[in-house]
Amino acid sequence: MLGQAVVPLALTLKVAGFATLLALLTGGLCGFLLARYSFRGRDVLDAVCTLPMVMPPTVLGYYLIVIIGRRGWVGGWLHETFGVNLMFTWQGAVLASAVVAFPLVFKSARAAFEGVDRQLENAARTLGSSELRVFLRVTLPLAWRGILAGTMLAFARAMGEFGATLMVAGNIPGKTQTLSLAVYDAVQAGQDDLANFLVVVTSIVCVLILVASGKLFKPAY
Amino acid sequence: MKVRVDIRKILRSRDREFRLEASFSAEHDRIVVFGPSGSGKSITMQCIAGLLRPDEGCIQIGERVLFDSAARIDLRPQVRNVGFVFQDYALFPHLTVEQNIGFGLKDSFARGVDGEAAARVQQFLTLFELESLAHSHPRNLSGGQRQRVALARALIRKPDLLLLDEPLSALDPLLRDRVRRELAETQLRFKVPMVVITHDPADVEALAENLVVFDHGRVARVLNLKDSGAGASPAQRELLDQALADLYPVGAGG
Repeated sequence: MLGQAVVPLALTLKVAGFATLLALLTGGLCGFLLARYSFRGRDVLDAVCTLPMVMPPTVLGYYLIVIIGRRGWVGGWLHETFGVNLMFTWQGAVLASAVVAFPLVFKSARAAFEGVDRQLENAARTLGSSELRVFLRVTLPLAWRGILAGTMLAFARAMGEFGATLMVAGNIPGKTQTLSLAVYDAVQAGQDDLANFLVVVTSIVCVLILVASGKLFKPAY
Repeated sequence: MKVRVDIRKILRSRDREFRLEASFSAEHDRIVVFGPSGSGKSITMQCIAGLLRPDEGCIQIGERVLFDSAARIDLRPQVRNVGFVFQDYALFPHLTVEQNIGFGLKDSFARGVDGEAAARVQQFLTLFELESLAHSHPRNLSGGQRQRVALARALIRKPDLLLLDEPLSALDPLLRDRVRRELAETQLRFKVPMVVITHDPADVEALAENLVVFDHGRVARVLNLKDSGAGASPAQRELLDQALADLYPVGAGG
């Protein structure tokens, strides 16, 4: 039974890990831009960035198929130019999980950057610090806890991703079958023992992550 | 050192417009900028430090031109060499007292400083009686201690001019007299010209050599209080009282 759990668990951690990294880079950047720059259409962009949080994962999955499917806008180009196909691969699952996890990083990062007192950045400027140093020595150290907390939520969310992953990457044991998909299969096949075990493992990991991120959301100063 | 400011700026928010037309020049080392809240004092300070850009005009300290819209000069705040002590001190909450003071000594990405810079930080810790607090974080300091850290952090860079935005307003009233004295002593010791914003007439009495009175975004008066002696001549005294009375029609109390 443990053996049957190890493969999907390892795959889940791999997919969720890469997805979280992708969500951190894009969500952090978008959060910073929307926190610091005022421009036309900012509210609309904020809504679009938050959309994956409220839309049904199947709808997101469908959008992804339209975009990265073999006949999709990007997928077609990738296939013709590099011969790369993302559909029904673990990389496709990464993309699906990243899209679903993105708003959690984005929202936390935006709030964290908005929470940094601009006067502190100004103080650093009058003390001769370049803009890059202001960011690395003042802004980021004061915002990282909020960003990290959001990133951990994103990881938990990416681990539990089901709908969009199923649409894009399918449910291929050993290749794209993550924990949540394995639970579904186990229940369908009447393997209650395996289902119980997978459910307990998933629950424990998620509780641990939530406790840790809850601690980080509390301000340190 | 002579400080010359002649700037205009219009600030717009959704429902109102603020028009700043600040023009004054002061030749003494202790300049007090006095006026009610919302009269443009802070905006003027931020323009001098380079944190806000005036629409037009010029700003000069001694022979150095910091800003001149006609000549297209606009130095970045990083190179203006103007120290700024913010109203709430703006100490870096994630750094210790020692790291706060050393922050402006070099533009590197490392946390601490070393060698000569470290020795200088130690010297300033001693000067400002902060040795025992070197490894404390700002949240654990009292108001007076925070102000000393902010002063040390700005002065360690040997600024040409030190700007202080209501440096005493965040303090306990009982503490203000003492800190006001310390401020005057610090100015003498470092011989750094300073501009102090206040709306407390007691600060004017204790600190002003040049008094710049702001009202509704304009400089209403510039007074020279130094050359008339410690107590100020009756004529000067009358001008000052009149300036205060204009701003505070019901008694001159702050």
